[in-house]
Amino acid sequence: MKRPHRLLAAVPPAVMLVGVPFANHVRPYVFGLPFLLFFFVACVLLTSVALACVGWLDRRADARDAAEPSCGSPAPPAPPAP
Amino acid sequence: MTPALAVLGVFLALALGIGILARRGRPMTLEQWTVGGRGFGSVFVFLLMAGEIYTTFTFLGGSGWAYGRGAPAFYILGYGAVAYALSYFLLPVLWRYATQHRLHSQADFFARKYGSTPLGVLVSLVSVAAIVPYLTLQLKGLGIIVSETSYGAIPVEVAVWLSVAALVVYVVISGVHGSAWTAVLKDVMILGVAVGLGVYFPSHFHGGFRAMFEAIDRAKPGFLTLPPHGLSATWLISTVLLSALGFYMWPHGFASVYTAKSEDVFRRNAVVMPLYQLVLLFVFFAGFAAITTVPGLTGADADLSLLRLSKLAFGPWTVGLIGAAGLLTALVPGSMLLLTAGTILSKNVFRVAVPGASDRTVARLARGLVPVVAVLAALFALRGGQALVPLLLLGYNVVTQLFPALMACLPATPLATPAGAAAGILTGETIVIAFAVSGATLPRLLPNAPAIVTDINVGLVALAANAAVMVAVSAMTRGPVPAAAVAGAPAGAPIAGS
Repeated sequence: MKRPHRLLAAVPPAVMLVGVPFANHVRPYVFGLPFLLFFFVACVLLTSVALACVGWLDRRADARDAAEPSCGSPAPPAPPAP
Repeated sequence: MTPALAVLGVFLALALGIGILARRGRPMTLEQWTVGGRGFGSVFVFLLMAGEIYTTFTFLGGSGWAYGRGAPAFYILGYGAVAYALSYFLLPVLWRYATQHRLHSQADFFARKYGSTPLGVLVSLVSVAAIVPYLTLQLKGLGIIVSETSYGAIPVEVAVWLSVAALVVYVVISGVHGSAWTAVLKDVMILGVAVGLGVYFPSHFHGGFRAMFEAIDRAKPGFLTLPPHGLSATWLISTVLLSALGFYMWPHGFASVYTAKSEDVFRRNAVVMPLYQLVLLFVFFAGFAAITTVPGLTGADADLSLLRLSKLAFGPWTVGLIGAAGLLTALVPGSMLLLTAGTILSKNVFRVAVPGASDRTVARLARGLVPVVAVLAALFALRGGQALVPLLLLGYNVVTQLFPALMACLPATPLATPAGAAAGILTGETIVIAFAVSGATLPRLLPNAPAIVTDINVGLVALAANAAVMVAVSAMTRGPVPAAAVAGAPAGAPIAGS
């Protein structure tokens, strides 16, 4: 896989689909929401965060690909880690 | 005429005015009318897509299901998030191909990719078939809004016909430019109204969110979790999955991808859309608040809960404003649905049948078909009985059957043959329609199977059969090249008839 960071986008949906049977409770209430509803809200928020990260990493990868077309050497000046 | 109806009328006039202004100075060619000249940036595409997604269904159906069913309504919150994750990867691919080949509709995409006009016609018919229940839902919602805000002066039947008239005039006048601009107005209204009601009702009637949910939990134990049978966790997971796959199979959603200026638009929107989707949370709050305050609405009447509660809490002017927000949530998606249905039937069915038709004839026919489709949907809406959510689920079952064929054609050489794709789609639709018409359910067909099997959404079962048939028929019809050569059939000379 060329851009493994893209797998990140699959995490929140997978957590939601697999987690439903385990999150099927009223208690504990979180921010006044029954737990199941809170679980869905959290998954939606995480989706947004994950897609923002993937988008950011994709733009960085795009820039790197544009800088040195198709040679396998690692990017020389590694951008500062966040 | 009640004050509430007057407010509604003002907003309808405003929407029509915006529609007329938006088209000024642009010749209404098919290209402008349907894809806005492909010049929409992030904000407009966002509004157009949000405009289609947050519909009367969200407003009345979302609150109606929270009121009538409880936790199963949360599926609406779930499938959007899964779909947006998918959109990040899918939409840029669709956009690139569509822009390169100057496509107008979803059927164009299939026809071009598979190199098969008949497949384009099949996809057209399927997508129009899926549009009808969706449009029926919008008209039903509009009918509810108009009749409720008239405080009983206008019966639902008359309200539905008034809505059809308003919608048709609106679409024929403005096309997609009107939809995008009205979407701006609509989004401001729906955000304000949904968040306002979702915060106000629980605190006004219950003294807070937690207090409200605790009261519901006491009055209806188990209402805030998924039941072990029926609308269970299995049902929810399969429905979220099915709806997420079908999300961008809707022909109007698919075609609004074409309006974008660049593919980057979709990547940015994928981040914002899930946040925007949280508006639904407040719609749920409003529905939940109605449970103990306006009890006794059963079946399809649960869709009235939000407006009934509003009438209890506010004076007619405010109810009019809430109704106006609802009106716009039906007008924008309703107009997109009609626009798409007209374009598809004209360009992808009529033009195939009459290849010599001029661009002008096709454009005129697209507009002429708008009232025909609208009246058809109105007739369904008047038959009554169905609540809004089941109507949407039926539409999703139909439209998601296009997903396997779309996935198979994305690689440079399609993985399926046109015959395979068509056989798969027909298999899926046959199963969906057989279940819908006969009223059969998996629990009844398999009485001894556990709920974890029988609660699976039938659409997902149909989807699996669809994909299997597509692969099998493709393998048979592709035929190894040497074998064809041995048989002596010259390439490019298909055997007709038989």
